[in-house]
Amino acid sequence: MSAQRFTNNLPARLYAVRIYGVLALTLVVAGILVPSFLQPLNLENTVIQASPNGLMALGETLVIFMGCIDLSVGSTLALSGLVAVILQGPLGPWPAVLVGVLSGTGVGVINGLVVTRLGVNAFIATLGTMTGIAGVSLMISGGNPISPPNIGFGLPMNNAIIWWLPPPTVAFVGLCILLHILVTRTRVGRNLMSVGGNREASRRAGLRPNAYVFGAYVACGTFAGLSGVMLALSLATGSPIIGSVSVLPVIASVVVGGASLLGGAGSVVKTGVGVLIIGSLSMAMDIANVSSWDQDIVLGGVLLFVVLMGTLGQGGTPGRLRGSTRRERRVSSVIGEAEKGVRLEESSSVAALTATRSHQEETSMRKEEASMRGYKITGGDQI
Amino acid sequence: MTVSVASGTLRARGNAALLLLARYGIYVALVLMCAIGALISGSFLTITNILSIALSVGYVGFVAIGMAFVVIGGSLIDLSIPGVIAAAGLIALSTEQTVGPVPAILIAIVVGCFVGLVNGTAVGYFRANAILVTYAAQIIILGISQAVAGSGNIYAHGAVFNWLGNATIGRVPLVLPILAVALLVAYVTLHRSTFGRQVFATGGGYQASRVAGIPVRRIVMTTFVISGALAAVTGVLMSTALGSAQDTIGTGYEFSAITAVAIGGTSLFGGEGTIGRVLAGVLVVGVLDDLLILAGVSINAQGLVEGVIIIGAVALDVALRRVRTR
Amino acid sequence: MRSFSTRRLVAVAMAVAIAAVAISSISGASAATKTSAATKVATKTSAATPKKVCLLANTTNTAYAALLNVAIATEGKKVGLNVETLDGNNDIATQSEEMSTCIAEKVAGVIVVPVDALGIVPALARAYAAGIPVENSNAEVAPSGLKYIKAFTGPSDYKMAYEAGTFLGNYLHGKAANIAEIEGSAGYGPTINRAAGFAAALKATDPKAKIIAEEDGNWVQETAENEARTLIVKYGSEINYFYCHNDTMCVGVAAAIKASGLPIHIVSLTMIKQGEALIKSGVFLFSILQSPYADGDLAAETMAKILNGQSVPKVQYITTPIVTKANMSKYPAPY
Repeated sequence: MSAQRFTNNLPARLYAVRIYGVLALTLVVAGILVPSFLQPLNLENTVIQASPNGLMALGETLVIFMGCIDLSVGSTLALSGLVAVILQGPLGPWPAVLVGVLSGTGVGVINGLVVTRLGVNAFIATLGTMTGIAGVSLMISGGNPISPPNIGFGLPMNNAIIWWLPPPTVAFVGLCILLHILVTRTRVGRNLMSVGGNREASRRAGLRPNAYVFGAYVACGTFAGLSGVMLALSLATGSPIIGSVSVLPVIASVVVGGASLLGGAGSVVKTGVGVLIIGSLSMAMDIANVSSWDQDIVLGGVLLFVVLMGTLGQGGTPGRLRGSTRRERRVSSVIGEAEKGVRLEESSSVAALTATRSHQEETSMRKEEASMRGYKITGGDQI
Repeated sequence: MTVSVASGTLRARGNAALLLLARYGIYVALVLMCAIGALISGSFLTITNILSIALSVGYVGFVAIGMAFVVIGGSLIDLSIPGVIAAAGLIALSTEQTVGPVPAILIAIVVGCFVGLVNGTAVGYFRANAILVTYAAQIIILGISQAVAGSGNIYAHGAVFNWLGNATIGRVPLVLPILAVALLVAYVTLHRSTFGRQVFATGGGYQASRVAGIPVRRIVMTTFVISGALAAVTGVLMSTALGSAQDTIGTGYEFSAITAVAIGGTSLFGGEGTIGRVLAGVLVVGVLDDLLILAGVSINAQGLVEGVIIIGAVALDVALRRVRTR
Repeated sequence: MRSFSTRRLVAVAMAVAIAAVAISSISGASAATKTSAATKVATKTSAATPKKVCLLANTTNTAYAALLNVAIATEGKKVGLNVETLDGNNDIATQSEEMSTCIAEKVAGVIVVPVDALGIVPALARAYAAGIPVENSNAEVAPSGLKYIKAFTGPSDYKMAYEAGTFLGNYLHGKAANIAEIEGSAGYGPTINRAAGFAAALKATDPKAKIIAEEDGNWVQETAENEARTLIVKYGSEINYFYCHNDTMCVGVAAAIKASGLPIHIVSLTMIKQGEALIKSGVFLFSILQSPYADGDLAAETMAKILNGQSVPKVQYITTPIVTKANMSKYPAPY
């Protein structure tokens, strides 16, 4: 199958892996501006420090693949850590860890239900859970950071277990690869991407979009829960207010990694690379004593740049009648019939499900889809 | 609605009642909340409290109007509001001593319009994602204004700003009459003008509107400029009333605004909504905050209550909308 | 219709602009460090080259913190320290990671203003294990972390609040009183301590004085004003005093009180310029002066002493005087 995904079109292939070029460029520029950034220990620390946000970014990627968003990951981070710390005494360390992760899953279930069953817009829904779950954290902690009874249990989270990688980093890298394989090589994963890419067509092809959206939220909550538990153990503290600054870097990582906020496009591994890019920027700026406000400006600039570059690939005003090929004429006529409440569907719904397109076709199709979707589309639970 | 012989009339009447509830549900909810308030506290229905509620959400009202234009026009959200509020406040207060109060206010509003212009161009013409663009714009504008003004307080000086901040009409501070005027202008613009109709059309169906000849890109851009201008007005009014400005004075306003718009029943997908609903949503937020304190809900529990109410209110509205549009 | 090339041009122009901002921001920051280091090396008359010290700031984004950080850096320069400030962004995870960065940089010492008294402890342990001396400034670390630090300098939120509560309790002479409290952001150390210290002192000096309400003012003037207004609606003249965790919030509360016309007074912490007028007018019974300069100077000096091998007391509190109308001419607000 992989052979079919690539053509001999070198520029197209290079374009597809441009994210790695961006990472290299980031490292080079950061290294020039902040020479000590390139010291091995600092590079190692960059990866280690990016891991908590990285884990959350993996889960967030799934949600964004569905064209939705999850703003509550930071609050889940705090809640799961608190749960794992508070229950350590009553339940014992490992059961507390499990319950902590499951509390994240629980938040994901709530998000998934609110978005799919209650039909609430993803942004508002996860805004509500973000506020609500942060409140729950304050309630169960009484507004105080909580120390676990057995501090020694969690501290190994800071120690290297494989090579120089501590457990959170191993989890991040391992889960990144696993998730990528799941999304690209399994039926479930491919269905997930097609649902995200074109909900109507997937529904007609027999899939249940809501199930996949729900699943994405559950996964996102679980990942955030895992990250929160690991973080709390490494800090030996459950904090009700941790994580509120994480939402921006997490979403920025996914966007920089090339995932489209409209859904259906992107790659888990590239999100991982996006995590490293954002992490490298943070580390370099920290070493250079850049204040958090200025760091946010740079991050904002990066986001803006990525967004504009992304819209660049759409090649022209949405809906512009164009093209001489049969495919483009078909697309144009469908656009002309667009009406409120109906997702544009491709004339061949089978194409939506087939993952074995040639890479070039995939790229050009993505561009067309993106240009069609460049305006708001009504009728779905999508942002 | 099918009408069968025996239960037909009843069902028809029941459905009509449901339809009525669906259409005016938010106002019913507001009345209900006020009733609860009156039960909780004898002071709820006093002029003092009503005035207090209005003042607490006065500024939210301004930004909610701007947000409503953006939402109804189909762009989902404008996250740059906190940045524009703070920037406008900082700029107005810090430039007042060199250029005088009125030019300072104008500069602040121009800055707000400019941010709206940038947002609107990116979203309207480049079709970039509104969340990312406005978020980036927020950070950048806040960073720039912080670089200009430092991270401390800028204090308000001069007779004009002092008057602006403290003036009242009777017991009512100036901000509320100004908001009333803004609401009126917004109502006329949105519901009684060609521009307003075009905004609804754009939000309701971008492609169809474009094909029908509506200048959709310009419409989208204009909604963002309106939002930016109103956020700047908010910043100026707030900082003169507080007597100072910091970069944090706008924090949370984007979420309050979108919550007010969503709770009021304006669809976040665009193409529908009324100024009345926006006002209702703003008042619901204000009454909710008021009730939380009057009812003595503990600090730690308030977040949970707010989250549940937000989700509940919007979910209810979604369910009722299905009835409305049946 | 925009053509492809115009778009591309605009996007590239934007990218260049953003890159320019980013690069100038980063290189500006690191250049500043380099320049100051170079100047120091050139002009220092004593034998020692300046020692590189990390300042792990909790934030750089409040007036107090900004002044504190500058004070530490400036005083540090005078006593032979090259202070590099890392911004913890009020996030304990960020600050913990920044400790790792400092350890990797093999700095001579670390001054830390912890975001979370408990959560910073593992990071302190790491620094201790790496042999890097740590000086704790402004906000005390949890007791479990005391063995990893060389010294604490700074105000004590708990002590400050306790003094405030004692003053008020004594002022009331055992009478009953109702106090409404406007707190800082929920879950943060200063908030926890300023609430606890005040409550404990009040209980000790005047058991009849009761805290009848607590609201989260988030350190913000407008929020505090709204909450005060609502509390006044709820309790009316039952409220005798408002207690705020910082002056900024109390300025907002004062506006609410003025609008109500009720004779309610305010006790406040961490005096600011806007509060001075209110102390003078008598609305504020008192505020407490917490000087970022005193805080920062002592931190830098103590760090220098530690690095020079001199012994220092484990705990040094700076004085945080109570400022009333009577003595306010002696204590101007720091910002």
